[in-house]
Formats: sequence, structure tokens, C-alpha cells
Amino acid sequence: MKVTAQPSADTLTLLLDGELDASSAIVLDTELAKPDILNYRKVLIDCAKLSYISSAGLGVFISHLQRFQDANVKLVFFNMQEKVFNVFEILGLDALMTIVPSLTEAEAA
Amino acid sequence: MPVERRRRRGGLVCLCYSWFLSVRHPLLYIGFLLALLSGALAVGNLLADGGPGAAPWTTWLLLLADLGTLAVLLKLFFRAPAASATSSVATPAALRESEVLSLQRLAQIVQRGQTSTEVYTVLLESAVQTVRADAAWLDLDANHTGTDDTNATQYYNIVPAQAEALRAGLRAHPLVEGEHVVNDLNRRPGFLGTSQAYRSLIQLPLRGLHFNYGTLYLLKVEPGTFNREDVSILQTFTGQAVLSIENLELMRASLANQRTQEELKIASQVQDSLIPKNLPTDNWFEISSHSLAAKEVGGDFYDFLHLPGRRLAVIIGDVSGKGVTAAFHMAQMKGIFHSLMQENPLAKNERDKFPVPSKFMAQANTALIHCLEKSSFITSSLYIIDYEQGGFVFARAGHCHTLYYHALREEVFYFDSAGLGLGIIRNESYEKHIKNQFYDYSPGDVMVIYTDGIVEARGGSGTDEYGEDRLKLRLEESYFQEAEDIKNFILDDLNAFTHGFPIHDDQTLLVIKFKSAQPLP
Repeated sequence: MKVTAQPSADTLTLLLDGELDASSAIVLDTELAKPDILNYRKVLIDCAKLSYISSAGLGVFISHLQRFQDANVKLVFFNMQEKVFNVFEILGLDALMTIVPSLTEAEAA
Repeated sequence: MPVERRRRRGGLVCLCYSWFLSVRHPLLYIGFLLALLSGALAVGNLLADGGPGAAPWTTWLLLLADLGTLAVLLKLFFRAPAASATSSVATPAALRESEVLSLQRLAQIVQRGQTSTEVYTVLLESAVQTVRADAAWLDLDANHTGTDDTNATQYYNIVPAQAEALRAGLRAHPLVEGEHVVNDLNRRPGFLGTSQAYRSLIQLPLRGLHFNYGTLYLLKVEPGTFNREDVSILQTFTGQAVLSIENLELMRASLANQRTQEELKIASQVQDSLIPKNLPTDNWFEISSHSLAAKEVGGDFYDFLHLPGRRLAVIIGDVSGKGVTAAFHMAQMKGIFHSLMQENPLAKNERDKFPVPSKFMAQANTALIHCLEKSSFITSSLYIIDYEQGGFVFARAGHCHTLYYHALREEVFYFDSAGLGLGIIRNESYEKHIKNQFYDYSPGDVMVIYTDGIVEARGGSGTDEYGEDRLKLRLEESYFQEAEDIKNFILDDLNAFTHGFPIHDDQTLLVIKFKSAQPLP
């Protein structure tokens, strides 16, 4: 699992590459836990290369959800593979998080 | 490996000794014979020259030198072996014997499973004996001794105050870290002008794989008595001692590990007792269940509760994560289920006496807020089946979709309902994210309830998942069988799919089959 951060003016894009499970969740958690991440207006998560997400992986997003909301930082997922989207959907996270098809919609969100 | 090094060095000593024996004696013999021969020649010359008086002075001189050589050779020939035995170091054979004995003692301590303190004691004794030290002490690093007593400096024939005085002298002008032989201690800076008794000192660290365990100091009154050979023998001992200490540590760790395993076994038994063994029975349904944890304990759970009025509550859940943490929350969830599913005496009507599934989930979510760590969550589905009404109501809190066979329509499908997992939203707004779904069942209908360990089980090429589609196909092929047979049919197929792959998540599978109306017994 590789996490690449691409900062721009008011948006931080995180590219996830690989399987997000208990062992790789720490990498992502470190990235999301950085205090200055709350200075961005939006955090976009590019899931194009995210091939699998376990409950520990979901737990990382869940644990930061409230913090992002409180700081008014919008968390947007895009380019999600169907298999990964199903996991979000079963858990009911699709109603709670913004998941859009592509970067264009993510930037507009 | 110190033992190998010791063996190699022991072999070398042995070889040198036998070489010495085999070479020294012939040389002495040859010298001896040459001296005898030249002596005989000289005497012959004297006699041939017509008596001692007529002999030239050179012949006399030759004879004198010859007698001198002979005397020296004779002395060497008879005294040489004895001479080496009187030196400060024992003969190689005697040395090897004591060395082997000491090493044996060190090794036996480990076999007997005794303490590291004993290893240090044996080390100190062996070292003193081998180099015939007058006094010695062993400083141990409090952080890494592995001893039972952390302040375990060991002394031989020296009082702590004396050792401390020497330490102070060494601290003032420290020796470079490592092995050292000092043969005139009182001339060293730090000891100049002191009246302390010892002149010779060996400093020897106890080097382990990752750190030094301590330092061994050996002392002698006589100056110039220690040499490199002593140090290399002592290194064999310290090497063996460190090996013994590290082995003891490994043994201790493995014992602790064994204890943990035992405790996990108990935890596993306790958890097993939380899983219902006696499935509810009645004449209007059949239930069959299966559960398997990926580790000793798991985070899956299911339970049943008979409610008044021929109703049955069925719950299934999956705590995120695996192992002990998940197991704790699993037990908690079971407790929440049993405490919330209590009859409310204030209820205005019969149907309100027990919480409807959505209400139950909202209450469970509130109960979990304070005891579930931030990144954990629980998925669960609660079904309340009402035989008299011929229907059921359920709420899905982020749990896997229920698989269903509808007998009248002869159709297998997944219920598609929304609902958020527990512990994700930790405030009152959770209630907005959970709904009840009502359904009327007919006899012959089959409900398959499971956790994601079933549909996400890996097999095939290793990254393939069993999947909802394959599970659905199996129910289409087996719905007409008894609940137990349907369950086994699915499990056989799952095991065939995952054959050769380790189970990576807890698996739970429940099959409920509704039966035709039967009169009450």
C-alpha cells in the first residue's frame, strides 16, 4: 500500500495504491492524523488503485470523520472500484461520506 | 560460535603441543649424539697425540665446550617438560581439561534451567581458576543482565570497597572499551602513587548479540603475569556464558509465550461458552449454525432469544478487527443484546414491550459510544420473527445483506436495505441512519445470515473472494433441503473454494428455514 500526497492551494489529494488492510492502515492513519491537514478546505481520496479495503482500513476513515467535519474539511472519495464501493455501501458509509465517480465531480463537490 | 572457536583453538594447541613433542626430542637426540661424537673425537685426539700433556690447547678447548653443550642438552632433555609445568599457565592438556569442565558446567546450568545469576557465578569461578587470579569481580549492566537480581555484581576474594577504588581509578583514565591486559597497574594514570595491592589486571567485556552484559575484571598481585593467551581463553568462557544467558532468556520468553497460549486457550473456551450451543427449536422453523474463528478468539457473534407470543429474536454481528480486542467487544455486544431485549413493564401495548430492531440498534449504538475505540465499529443485524403474524422485522446496521429464498416466487435474492454500522456515528443522529424492514414469509422460505468472513473468504488464485454471487448460486441449488443440509452444502463449497488458504477472518453462517404451520403441541 502506497499513499502519495499531492497538495495544491486549498486541496490535498491522497492517492491510495494497493490493499488497505490492518498493516497498511497505519500509513494512511499517519497521513490523515497530521495536524496541518485541517488547513485544507478539501481532502480528496483517489481510490483508482485501491484494490481492497478491510474493516481496519475503513476504521481509519471512520476515526477521522468527526475531526474533519468539526474542522469543516470536506472529505471526498473518487475513482472508486466497484468492489471497494460495495464495502463502503454495505456498511452504510455511502450515506455518510461523499463518494463521487471522478476527479471532475470531486473538485466540484 | 564461541564453542566452535574454542574447539578450533583447542585443536591448534593440541597440534602445536604434539609438534613440539615430536620435533623437540629428535633435535635434542641429534644434538646429544653430535656432542657425544665430538667429545669422543676430542678424547680420541688426546689419546692419539700421546697423552694429555702432549695435546694442543685447541683440543682441550674443544673438549671443554663439548662438555658444556652436553651438560646443557642433558638438562634440557630431562628437565624441559617439568619447566613448562611450573609456569603460571597450566600445561595445554591440563588447561584443556579445566576449560572443558568449566564449559560443561556453564552448559549444564542452561540445561537445568537455572538462573542467570548462577551462570555469572560459574563464569567468575572458572575464569579465576583458569588464570589463577588472586582476585576478581564481575560488573553487570543493570539494563541487560537478565539476572533476577539487577544489582548483582559478583566478587571473588575482594571486598566491594576495594573493587570500587579500582573502578574509580579506571574511571579516571578509562581503558579503551574492550579486552585489555594491564601488567603494571601502579604505573597507570589513575593508580600512580596508590598503595593498592594488584599489579596485573584483565578487563574483559561480556559481549552479547546486541549489547554488553557486563565486564569481568581479574587481578593478580604480581606484575606482568597476564598475557594475550589468558585473554583468549577467558573470551571462550565469556562467550559461553553470554550464550547461556541468551539461551536462558529465550527459554524464559518461550515459557511466557506458552503461558499466553494457555490463557488464550481459556479465553477461547470462555468465548465458546458465549456462543449458543442449544439452538432454539420449535415446530415452525429449523435453524442450523456454524462459526469458526480465524484466531483463538474472534469477533463474530450470534444469539437467539425467545420472546413471548411465539416470537424469536435472532442477532448476528461482526466486530471490526480480529483477536482479543474483537472478542471483548463481541462479549459486550452479547451483553447489550440480552439487556436491551428485556421486557419493558411500562410499555402501553404488547408489541412495545420489546424494542423494535431499529430502536435496538440506536440504543446499542449509544451503549457502545464510550467503550469502542475510535477506529472500531460493529456491524449487526437483528431479526424478530413472529410466527403468529407469519412475518419478520429486521434492521441491518452495516451488516452483510441477508440472503433469502422466496418459496412462492421460487426466487433467491439479497435484501437490499440501508443501514449504518454501530460506533461510526457517536451521537443521537445515528437513529436517522437505521431502518426497519418488514417482510411476510411463507413456509419453505429460507433465510441465510452470515458474516463477511464467508463472502470475503479467499481462494482460487489467492485474491479471489467467495462472493455473494457464489453464495446465492449455492442456495438456489439447495433451498429444498433441511436447514442443516443447506448449511453443510454451502460450507462444503466454501471449503473447496478456500482449500489450501488460511482462514483470514472469522466465519459465521446461520440458515433458518420456515416450515408449514403446525398445531401447537
